[in-house]
Amino acid sequence: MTETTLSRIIDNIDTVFRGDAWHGPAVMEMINSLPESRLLENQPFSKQTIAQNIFHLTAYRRFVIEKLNDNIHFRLDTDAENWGTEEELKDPARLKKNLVDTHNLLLKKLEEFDDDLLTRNVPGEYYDFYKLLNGLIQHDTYHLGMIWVLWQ
Amino acid sequence: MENNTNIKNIIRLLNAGFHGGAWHGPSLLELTKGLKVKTAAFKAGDIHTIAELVYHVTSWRLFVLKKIQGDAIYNIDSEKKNFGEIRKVDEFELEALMMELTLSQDELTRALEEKDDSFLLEVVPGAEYTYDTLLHGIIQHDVYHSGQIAIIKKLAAARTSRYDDVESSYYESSDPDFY
Repeated sequence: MTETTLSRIIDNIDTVFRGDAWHGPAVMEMINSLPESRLLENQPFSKQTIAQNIFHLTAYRRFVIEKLNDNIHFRLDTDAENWGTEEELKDPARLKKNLVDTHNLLLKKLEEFDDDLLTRNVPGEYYDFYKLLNGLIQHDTYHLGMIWVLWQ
Repeated sequence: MENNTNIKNIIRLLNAGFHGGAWHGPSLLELTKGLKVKTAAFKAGDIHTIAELVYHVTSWRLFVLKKIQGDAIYNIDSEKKNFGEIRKVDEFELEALMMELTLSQDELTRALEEKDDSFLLEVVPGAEYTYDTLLHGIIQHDVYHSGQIAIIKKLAAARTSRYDDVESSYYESSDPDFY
């Protein structure tokens, strides 16, 4: 397969998610190392638990998929949409599975596109897909940094 | 310069993550602007202080700069090179740390502006990956530690009865620059 800018971004999304990332721990490396008992622990200094951060990573993958599907109106407006409900957060196995499944769906969806996607404006937003896809990678690492501190 | 679209995009990402306007949330400078000595020196368990993290972020930015300059030998191979040896954080120390960090941004962007896209596919001297991996890696490294800094600020504020710092990412921020 010819290497393109988009294929490198897809590779980067997956590397940061699964492992061997240049910056340090990958999303699933850290999440799989976490004791499940810590996921719902409330810390007085943080509004969100680790479980909520994990849900948030899934929510933004869904956001990207919806935008790739040209859904101009899709937004994550509420706390529940962003950080999950009590019901959605209570089962660690389901929480992790949803993240992995949504990640795989995103990768599959991205395979439909070529580099032209990157300069296209994201439907309903004022930035392009280059910014969105790289932003998603950085969003992962930003919340991963938070999860690490919450875990300590 | 012709054929430098990808380099320009990387500089754009580097600047957004450092100065502001990043998609994911607050930038490194937005998180460290107006940082108090007490917050920068706050220590909890095995977690590095913000001062140490700023040193660490700068160290790896200098690593990248050395590699762009073709240095195959340079490495960060000790705790001192990695996180510094900051015995006491004071105003002077904090200002020096922030100045080094800001200088690293200027040097990095200046070095990249001289390159074209073919540079990104070259293998980094002394490594087994390309400059494309290295440059995206340093951007992600900055952001990973930005996330830590954001929450350590909240932890420090909670432990010292102050709660006026930000942790928010994309969704929570009301500042349009964070989009």
